[in-house]
Amino acid sequence: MPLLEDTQRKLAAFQAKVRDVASTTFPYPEAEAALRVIEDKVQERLDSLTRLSGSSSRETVVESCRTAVQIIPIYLPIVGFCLRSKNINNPLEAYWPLLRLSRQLAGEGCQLILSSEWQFSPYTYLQVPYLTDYVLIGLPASESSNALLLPLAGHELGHTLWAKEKCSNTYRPHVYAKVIDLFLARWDDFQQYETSLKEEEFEGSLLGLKYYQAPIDWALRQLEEVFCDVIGLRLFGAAYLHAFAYFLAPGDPAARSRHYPHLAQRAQYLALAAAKFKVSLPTSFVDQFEEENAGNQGLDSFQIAIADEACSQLVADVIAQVNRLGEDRSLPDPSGEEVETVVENFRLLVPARSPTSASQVLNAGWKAHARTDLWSEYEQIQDDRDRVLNELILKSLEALEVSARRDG
Amino acid sequence: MLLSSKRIAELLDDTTSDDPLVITPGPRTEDLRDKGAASIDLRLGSWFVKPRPRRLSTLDVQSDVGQPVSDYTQDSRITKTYFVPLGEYYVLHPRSFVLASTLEWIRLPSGIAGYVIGRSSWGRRGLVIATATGVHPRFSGCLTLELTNLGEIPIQIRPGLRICQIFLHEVSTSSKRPEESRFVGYRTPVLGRIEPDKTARSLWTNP
Repeated sequence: MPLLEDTQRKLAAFQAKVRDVASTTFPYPEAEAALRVIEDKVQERLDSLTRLSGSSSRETVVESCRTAVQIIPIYLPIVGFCLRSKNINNPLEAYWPLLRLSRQLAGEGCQLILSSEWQFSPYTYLQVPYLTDYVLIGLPASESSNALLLPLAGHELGHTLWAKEKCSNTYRPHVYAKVIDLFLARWDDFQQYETSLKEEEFEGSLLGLKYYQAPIDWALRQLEEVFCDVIGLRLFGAAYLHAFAYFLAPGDPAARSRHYPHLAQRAQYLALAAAKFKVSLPTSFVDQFEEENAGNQGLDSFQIAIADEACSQLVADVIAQVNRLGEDRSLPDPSGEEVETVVENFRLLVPARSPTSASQVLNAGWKAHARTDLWSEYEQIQDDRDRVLNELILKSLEALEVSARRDG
Repeated sequence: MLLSSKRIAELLDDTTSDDPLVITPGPRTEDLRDKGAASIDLRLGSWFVKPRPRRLSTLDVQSDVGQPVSDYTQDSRITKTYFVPLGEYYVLHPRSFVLASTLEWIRLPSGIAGYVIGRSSWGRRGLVIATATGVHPRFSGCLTLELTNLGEIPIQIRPGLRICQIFLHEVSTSSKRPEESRFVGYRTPVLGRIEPDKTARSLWTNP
């Protein structure tokens, strides 16, 4: 049957590509280990197809082929991600400090693959089957060598922690209650779209579910993004805010995703969290972001407004939870009192001499970035400041790892 | 005057100077004081740059003219860069040549210059390190090392190994603004450019 043979060929071709990539040299071993896991899973699918006897029904073969081939779209992007982790333009010295941070947050079994993406968004693959212990962090390829953007990895680590802590389960009942309350509080407005429902029947009815299920899902996704922002802030302090603004400001008012709070609102939530963590807000931080709209009208707009409000009402809980997580895991203080020492090192054109955390180094990096007079006496690097600062930051992160190993 | 390791330790411990001697990750200065030698060991870093012979028929220095130092080194048409993390190794095959960098970032103050030389224990195994080894005052960055295996057996070299040593000298007529090094602020090996000077150009110009 051609379907069976074609499926086997597709799987074999995919497996050959995985082997091909796995056989190359990686800067760190995790990418190869992940590829070997994928290769084994492809082999399992091939074996399952081989076991189909000649007497299997057409339905069985079709279903088996459909199931087996699903592995390719799931893992092909991961294979590409692993391949790109070899790129020397990635901030390779940041690997160990980020791995230590990942393990401090998500447990000792955590593995890290640091790579880049060909889309202009920091990206993480969430809960990839059979690779659940892997944190996959990829900055956009055009910015992947920019060490100042490393704090954005904090947001991606947040997604791992959200899953690890099963935060969806924790927050879903609260989101559910908020969304129902908001529908009932705005019942008159809702009746523009649905008149056959009564208030007292809304929560338990299938028709009601049709209206409130989506806002619950959106609000939960929004809350996850807020959680990840707050984790990034808790880990990297003001450096996260600078990286966030560099990367996202001013935003596109017409490109609102319902899975995120609108950008100006995210900035407001970060300002709230910054006050809680005693992190100084960069000048005009919130004002840099344009208000976005969903570009939708009618019911869709109404539902998004409910999701936004439900998320907003739970932000304080998220900030408090991240604060507790930071204390439980003894995360370094993000307010960065020792940052000036490192800035002074950078002024003398040397990496951090005794770095204590990646956060300290990255905050010093942003402070040095803002000081245009920092190297006025070094004429030969006036046109090369960004490169030199990048070198100093990455070398400082390497020094952090060397100290950790040497001093136990 | 050649600086003793005790004097070097004193300079490294002075964290208040606005023109300091810095070596980071630094040697333990208490070890330096006890050592009684006149040099500091430097370790191999993680970055290696190898020429791509397949892409180069000849090395024409005239083609370097006007190119920024960083662009030239990172030009992937003529060199290939490797990153070898701590714990891994790079194999240097017989008669092959590679640029490497020191693990340490070094900053020399205005009144101090340095000379980098190999370690005899490596030399006896065929590994020759650095042939252009002067380090000018106010240099700041990781040193580029030129490594060649003159032996007949491939050599594994690992980041973190003590690979060379630097001797530091006081510059007798210390100037606050000596000639600036072009290779300031690099953590990876720098190929640099060989730009023919005015005299060379005049010699090449036919009447």
